[in-house]
Formats: sequence, structure tokens, C-alpha cells
Amino acid sequence: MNVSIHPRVFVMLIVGLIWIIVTRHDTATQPQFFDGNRIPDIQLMDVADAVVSTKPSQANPVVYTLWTTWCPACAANMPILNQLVPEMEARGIRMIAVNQGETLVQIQTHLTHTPIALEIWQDPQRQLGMALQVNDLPSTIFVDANGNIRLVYRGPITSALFRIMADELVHKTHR
Amino acid sequence: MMPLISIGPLRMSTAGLVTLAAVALWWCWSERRFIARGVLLPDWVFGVVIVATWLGARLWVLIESATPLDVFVPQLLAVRTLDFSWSGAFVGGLFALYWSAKRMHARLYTWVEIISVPTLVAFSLGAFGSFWSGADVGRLWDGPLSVYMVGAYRHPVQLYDMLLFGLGACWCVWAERQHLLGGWWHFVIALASNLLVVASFRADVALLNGGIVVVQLGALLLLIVAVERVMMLQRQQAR
Repeated sequence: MNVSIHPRVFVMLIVGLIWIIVTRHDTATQPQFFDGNRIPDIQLMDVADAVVSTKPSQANPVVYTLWTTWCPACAANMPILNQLVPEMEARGIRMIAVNQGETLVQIQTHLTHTPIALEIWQDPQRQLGMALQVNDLPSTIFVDANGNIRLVYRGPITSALFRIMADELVHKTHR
Repeated sequence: MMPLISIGPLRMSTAGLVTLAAVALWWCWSERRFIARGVLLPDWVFGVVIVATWLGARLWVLIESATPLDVFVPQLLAVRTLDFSWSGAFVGGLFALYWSAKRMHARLYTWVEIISVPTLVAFSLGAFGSFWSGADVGRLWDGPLSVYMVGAYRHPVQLYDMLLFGLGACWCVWAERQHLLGGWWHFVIALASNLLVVASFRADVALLNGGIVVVQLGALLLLIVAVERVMMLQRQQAR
């Protein structure tokens, strides 16, 4: 079979290959989005306006739930999380609901008719969601006591899956 | 930051607003171009393409992130989500076009040729909406044109997307004005060039060993095939 290629197309192929090689990612030195799978250290405020941080405490695993007041899936998922709070506290796991992109007034207005048993943090600039590149709501982030992210779960989570991940977090912490 | 805009009872992100504007522009402009080419389409075709584009964009993200089956459908239909895939949108839209063209016994190539310019302009507008919403996924960079987004200085890849989709649209318009054959392949050239260039600056791309970006290899292959086809058609036209 006679396969011929036009010289201009051949030049284009060579230029394209050179471009791909020149612009390849330097996997050895390219700074990572966050340090491996570690939770980035971000300072936020809780609903009492006290400064809080995602920096690992070396004591407890933490589960962050990203939510908003307007998200129907978050509203549907919150009762499941509320029920899990006493059980997780007993196992030494902190559960924190990190609001995404809303004001303190909006959060407090929502809390007057929808109580939330989790710790509540404000994140009006969506720093945590953006740092983890998580845009789905709700999303649940399981972080062990060393600050390593074990799972980023997008969408409403079931209590069964939550418990499986809790086992994993406790296991990793005590290993 | 995700700026929200209130329109009556609705609160929309800037990305959502610009996406709606892009869809409206695409619909009106494509319809006019179909009419100008003497093709009268029922409105359901546009509806099917828009819905399929949306579903394709979401489906791609959900499959990529291995979403569990019990939450798959609610996530697929989540209208206020922010995660969309360009590739998924393109595949979904193309599939719907293929299905509609087959149903109407029309040629897919002709249809794609007609919608090429509005699609590229709508993509360009959508890329700007994505940039405006602050969802930058560029590689870390501290050069003079870098933007501070998602916790670091980065390449403003959505602006690159916007620019290159715009240039692609200009290229397709130029080819039309010159009455060059193979409008479908000009569209492919515009898309493949965009992928080849912009993928270099994105942080969220799959890499081969050695840091080579997978999608660039596919884009280069597509570009070469499309250019070769266009040149072949030009030679035929010259005869």
C-alpha cells in the first residue's frame, strides 16, 4: 500500500511532537496541588467567629462535609450525618460541616429551622472546596489523624459507607 | 470565589449564567444558519442536543470519579452542580446530532459543518464563564500573566481556551468565506488545536510516564488526519 504524506503535514507532525515534549509535565519537580494526599492547612472561622484550622491535630481523624443551605442533596443528607455524630464522637472522630460560599447570617438563619449536630465552619471563599478541587455538593472528605486524605466522596453518603470509612480511619490512626 | 447573581427567585453562579447565555446564543445562531442553508429543523433537535450535551458532560464526570450506583442518578440530574466535562459535553452533543440526523435521513457531516462556528463561539463564552467563576485548573506558574486562583498562582487556562476557541471560530468562518471544502474537518482542526495547546497548561490531565500529556497525543493525531483530509479536498477542488 502506497502511503504518502504531504511535506507540510510531516513538518506539522514534527512541530507537534516537539511541542508535546517541550511542554511535558515535569513530574519530579512540579509542585503538587497539595502535598501528596495531605489536607492543606487552611484557616477558617466557625459560627462563633473563632479561628479554626484544617491543620491535623495528630489526635483525631476528621470528616469534613462540604455543604450549602440551598443544596437539596445536602438537606437530604444532613439527617444521616446528624444521627452519626454521637457514634463517631465515641470513636474519636470529629465531624465538621464546612459551609461553602455563604455568609454567617445565611447559615444562622438556616440553623434556626434546621439544626445540625456537626461542628459548623464558615468558608465564604470556598477555600477548602477549591483547594481540593471538589465542586459537588455535598462532598465528604475523610482525613486520618496524620492529615492524610483517605477518601473524597462526592454526593450524598450512606451511613453504611460512612461507617466503613470510619473503621478505616480508626484503623489507620491506631496502626 | 463563586459569585452568585440573583434573578428574581433564582440565585445562579456566574458560570451558570454564562452557560445559559452560551446555550441561547448557540441555539439562535445555529437555527439561523440551518435556515440559511435551506435546512428546516424541528425544535426538538435543539432540545435533544442541549439535553444530551448536559447529560454527557455530567456522565463523563461521574464515571471518571467512580460515583457509586445508589447516588448516580441524583448526581447525574443535579442541575446546580459545578462539575462538567468539555469532552463529555462534546461526545453527548455529537451523539444526539448523529441520532437526530439519522432519524431525519440527513448527513451528520453537513449538520456539524453548520453548527461549527456557533459551537466554537459558545465554547469560548463558556470558557470565560468558567474563568469568571474562579474554577481555574491551570498548572502552577508565577509568570506575568498568571492569576491567583484555587490557592496559588496559575496559568489562566480558561482564558487560553476562550482565545483558542475564538480563533478556531475565526478559522472556520474564513474557510466558509473562501468556499473551502470539508467544513467538518475545519471544525476538527479548531478543536484539536485547542486540545493540543491548552492541555499543556492544565493541571488536571492524565500523564504518561515521563510527563507526556495523553490527550495531546490524541489531539495531534486528530489534527494531522484533519489537515491531511483538508489538503486532499483542496487538491480535488483545484482539479
